[in-house]
Amino acid sequence: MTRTLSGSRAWLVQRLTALYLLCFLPYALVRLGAGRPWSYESWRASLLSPGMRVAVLLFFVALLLHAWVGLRDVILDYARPLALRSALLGLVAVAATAVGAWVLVIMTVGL
Amino acid sequence: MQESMHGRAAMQVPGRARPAFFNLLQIGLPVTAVVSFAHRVSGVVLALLVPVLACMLQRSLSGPEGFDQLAALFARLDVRLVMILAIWALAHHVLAGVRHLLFDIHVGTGLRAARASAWIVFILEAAIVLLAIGVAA
Repeated sequence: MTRTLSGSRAWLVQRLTALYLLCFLPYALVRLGAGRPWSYESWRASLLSPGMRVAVLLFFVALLLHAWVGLRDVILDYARPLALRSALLGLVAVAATAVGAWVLVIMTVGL
Repeated sequence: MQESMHGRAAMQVPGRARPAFFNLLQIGLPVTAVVSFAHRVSGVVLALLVPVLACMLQRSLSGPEGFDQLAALFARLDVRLVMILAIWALAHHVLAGVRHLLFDIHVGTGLRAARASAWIVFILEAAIVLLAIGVAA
């Protein structure tokens, strides 16, 4: 992940994911507002409809990639000692992968 | 005579005392720098909230009990306060991010425009935070 997501590719991933997040956010806000008041049944039906499953999964993929590039930039800027830098990058990579796998499990429930 | 004064002034330039370091308190932070740094800080805060968001997603879909627990959580004043801080971070990050995306396509890269858009970011995020407080209260 560190080697495949650096330089101009990281820059591009940062921008492309930003655009998806920028589109998803107002859409999610409008849907959240329109569906009020939410019950467990209406929430579940709305979130687990085929289109929303894909949209929410894509949202988390974009979010995690975006966060990875951003945190990577911050770590490279401030964590100077190599051991600390590697440890932090590894920690973030593992955490991001774990959250991604978890969301995949959550959003594919009942399939 | 004027020529000689010019000459002397020009001669003085290399010897003029220059700051050997930048005292940030003395020169002050331009608004563009504050927007840029706050974009970074808000980004780190939001990144740390991603696992929390996944957790909330899981609880909300886990069953009627989990859903109700989450709803009860959002009704608490302290949780709402944290939510408003999160909305503040998100509002700043998105607005400052759009500003950066516009820079990428060479919109508003002049000094005056960049300063103006930095102020616009702060004004819009203040409006969003006030709106969130109004909704939460």
